[in-house]
Amino acid sequence: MFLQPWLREIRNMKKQTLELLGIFGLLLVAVPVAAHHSFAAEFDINQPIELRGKLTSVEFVNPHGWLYIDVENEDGTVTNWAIEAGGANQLLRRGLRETDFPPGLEVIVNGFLARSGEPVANGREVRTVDGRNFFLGTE
Amino acid sequence: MCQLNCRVGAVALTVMIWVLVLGPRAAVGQAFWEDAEKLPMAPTWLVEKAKLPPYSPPMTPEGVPDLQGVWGGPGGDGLSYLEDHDFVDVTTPAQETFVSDPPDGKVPYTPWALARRNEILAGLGRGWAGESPERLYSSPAAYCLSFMPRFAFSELEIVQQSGFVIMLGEEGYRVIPTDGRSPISEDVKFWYGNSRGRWEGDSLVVEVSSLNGLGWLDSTGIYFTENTRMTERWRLVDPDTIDYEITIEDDTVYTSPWKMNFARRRPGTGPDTRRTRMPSAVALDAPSLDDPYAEEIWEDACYEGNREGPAALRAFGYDWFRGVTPPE
Repeated sequence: MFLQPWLREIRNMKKQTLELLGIFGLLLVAVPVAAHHSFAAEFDINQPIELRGKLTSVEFVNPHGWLYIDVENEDGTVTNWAIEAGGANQLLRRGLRETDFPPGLEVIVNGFLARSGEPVANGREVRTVDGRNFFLGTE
Repeated sequence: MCQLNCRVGAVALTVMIWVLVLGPRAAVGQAFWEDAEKLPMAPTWLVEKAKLPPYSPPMTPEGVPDLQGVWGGPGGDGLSYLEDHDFVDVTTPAQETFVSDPPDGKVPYTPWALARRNEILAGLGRGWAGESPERLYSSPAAYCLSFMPRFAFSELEIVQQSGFVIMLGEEGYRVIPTDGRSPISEDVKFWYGNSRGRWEGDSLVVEVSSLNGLGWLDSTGIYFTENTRMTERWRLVDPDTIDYEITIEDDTVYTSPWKMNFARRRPGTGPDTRRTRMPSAVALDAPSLDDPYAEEIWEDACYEGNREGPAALRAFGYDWFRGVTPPE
């Protein structure tokens, strides 16, 4: 099926657990701005997804930023996935910059699959293979 | 088997950590929440406010209360769901009502209006219990049309000039004349209405009229009409806190005027003293717990990149909210 290439084992559970604890231990505060709450209509909380691929481009725009990654399918074809992220203001306030996402960067994205069936996901976290982690925080 | 189990476990752990860390404060944007203690709102704030000693606000050179500065929104899950509710799902945590009057915390819709409101709620397609299979309206905010009262649920900066109070938000600005001019004709309607301010004692009082009745008050379809009038009261109750109160009147859909109250605080004050308004973010090797720009309002220009969301909602069959026409 469509998702099979990404329904793969998460290796190094202990390591990842520590990473996650580290990441989210840093996510401490927020006063919310207007959440659009179309999330539940557009994305399926019951379909978490992990994607691994290479960044092709990034858009720092509001209200949502976007990461685009090429993901290799099991049959060798490549699908370009669109990953919805937080808006440019949110990402910038967190210290993220477009230069943190150069084309070709290999990343692992965790998020939730779009209900549309298109290769679109709502990103929650992106990790780089060199160990950096970012919270994408979208709405 | 470990393949699936490990993945499920990791996802569960991830969500758990998100909610444990983010709750009870929402992340900007779509936060994930645990089924935990109800987030405080109007009832808790009214109790807190009642304990505050009398306070005389600083005055501008013109002799009116000085409300200037950056102010946060209500906290909690903001405009998600205005009435008291238990945990719905990880995107909608348990939260107290915003409604301070009537005492039951519910919007006092007439029977006809309540039936319409419940119909809208059932057609949201958010996966909640009791929904109808029909998808009706998506939240106007999905199209960058903020909820009324404008800026009530988000950060803003107040700037005062002679005869005007100006509110700068991330998605727009609001100019409120306080020079005694009359409102525009009710025949002219706007998404955010027409605001006229005045000073009453320590309060900035803003009358909002000329609403087009197409907006919502929260993301669950609590609506008003083109007959609705809103009266806001902004009052400093200590150097860093504004008591925000709004009275909403419309006898075509509500059985009585009703009120909402919540506290607005300066960045870095109140229950959370860190000077940040955003989830700090973040590369592991460069944690930043403070937002150095917490006291700056940045233009959001929501519409700039709001492409896929509206397109997806249309594809799912959602329509624009067309307003309601109360029975004669």
